[in-house]
Amino acid sequence: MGALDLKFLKQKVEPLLTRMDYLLRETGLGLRRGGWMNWAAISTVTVLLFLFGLSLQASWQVEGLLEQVGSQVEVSVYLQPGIPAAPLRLQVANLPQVAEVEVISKDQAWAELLADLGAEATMQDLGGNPLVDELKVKAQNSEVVPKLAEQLMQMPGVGSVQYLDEALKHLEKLSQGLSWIGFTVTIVLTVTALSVITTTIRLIVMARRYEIEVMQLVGATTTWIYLPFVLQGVAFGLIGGAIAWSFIAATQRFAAHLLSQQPNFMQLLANGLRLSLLELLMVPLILLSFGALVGLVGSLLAVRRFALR
Amino acid sequence: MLWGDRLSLLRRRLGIVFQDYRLIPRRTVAENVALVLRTQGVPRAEIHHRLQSALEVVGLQHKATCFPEQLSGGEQQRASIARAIIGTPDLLLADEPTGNLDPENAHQVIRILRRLNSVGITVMVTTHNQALVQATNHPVVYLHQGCLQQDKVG
Repeated sequence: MGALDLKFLKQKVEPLLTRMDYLLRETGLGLRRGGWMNWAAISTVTVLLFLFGLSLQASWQVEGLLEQVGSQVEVSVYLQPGIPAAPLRLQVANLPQVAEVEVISKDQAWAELLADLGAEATMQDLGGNPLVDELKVKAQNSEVVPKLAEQLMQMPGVGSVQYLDEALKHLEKLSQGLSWIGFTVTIVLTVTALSVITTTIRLIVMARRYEIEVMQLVGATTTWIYLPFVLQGVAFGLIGGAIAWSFIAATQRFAAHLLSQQPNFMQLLANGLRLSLLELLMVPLILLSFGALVGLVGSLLAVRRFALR
Repeated sequence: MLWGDRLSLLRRRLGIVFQDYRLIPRRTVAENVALVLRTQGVPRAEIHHRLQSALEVVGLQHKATCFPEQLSGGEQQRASIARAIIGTPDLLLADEPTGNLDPENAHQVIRILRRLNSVGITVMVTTHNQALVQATNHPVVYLHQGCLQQDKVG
């Protein structure tokens, strides 16, 4: 029984292996023969995927940053000089949209500031603490923040109110702009890569016209003749994807190296821009499959005309 | 009319020898001959086995790794015959197989075709060479003004 199964399996698997062997060898032969024409196709795909990968990463990073900032639905209320925060606290906490209120007295803020900047004698020369008391008010969600800010502004003793609305709007606009640019560049370069791959494969097919004719005369089917060319196109895409990914990885390293030499607050920003492990794994996968798809479509377009004749 | 893959499948049952050999320049003799079986998905071990006997029939074992341009006309035609018979066809069509060859090489090619015929392959040869026609004891058919005329029954 076991021997029979094995024989059956062998009968099923062997033709498949022979076929793979033929296809891989012929594809490899095509790549070796292609010479510099290969590079025309591969380099175009590389440029496409490099820029596509960068813009993809950038949009993820900005999205991550937006999420991080957007989740902070905090309003800072600065009181007028000399007004203590403690009595106002209860009044603010009773507002319906407020989730939490924290009091930061001016002495507390001053101590923190001095610690941050490194207490120097010159700072002490300012003639006392110039800061005011502050209330940190957390809203229940980000939508109510502008209204809440307005309400807080009208309370007696409030000097000024700040929240992240403006910065958020700018970031969102930036992110939208970035993704539009990325989208346009990707479309244009995809069309370019497709036409270069199509032209390259077509030239290679033309150069091997005689060989193809002989293969037809000895009984090779259309699929057997043209599938290696299609696989060659896919190989262009995969190689281009791999090179693009290594470039992106190198760019990231370089950027990280530059940032590590910057002051602390820049590094803090860099932490906000860091991608998750999943996203880091997704980048090569997306690049390789996008490259393979472009190569596949390009080479199918190239051989379609010959194969259908 | 046959078209596409059905035509390919018919061609696999035929062996064809061309006047201009039709060998692929950038592949060795062995690769040219083996191409027929490779495009049919025959396993490599079997290709190797059948390649050896096909080259033996035409006496080209020692030229297996040569490229066509390194061969003489007669050798190229023999390589083309090896390619035609490696698929063990029922019918071998030879279109002016001696057309580009000197008498000695032509004679050798005809000898090989005779031998193939003697092992049971039907061989059909077209030629302009009258001496060849007169020397044969096989059936001969003339093409005269588009009509076939039987001349000699073997």
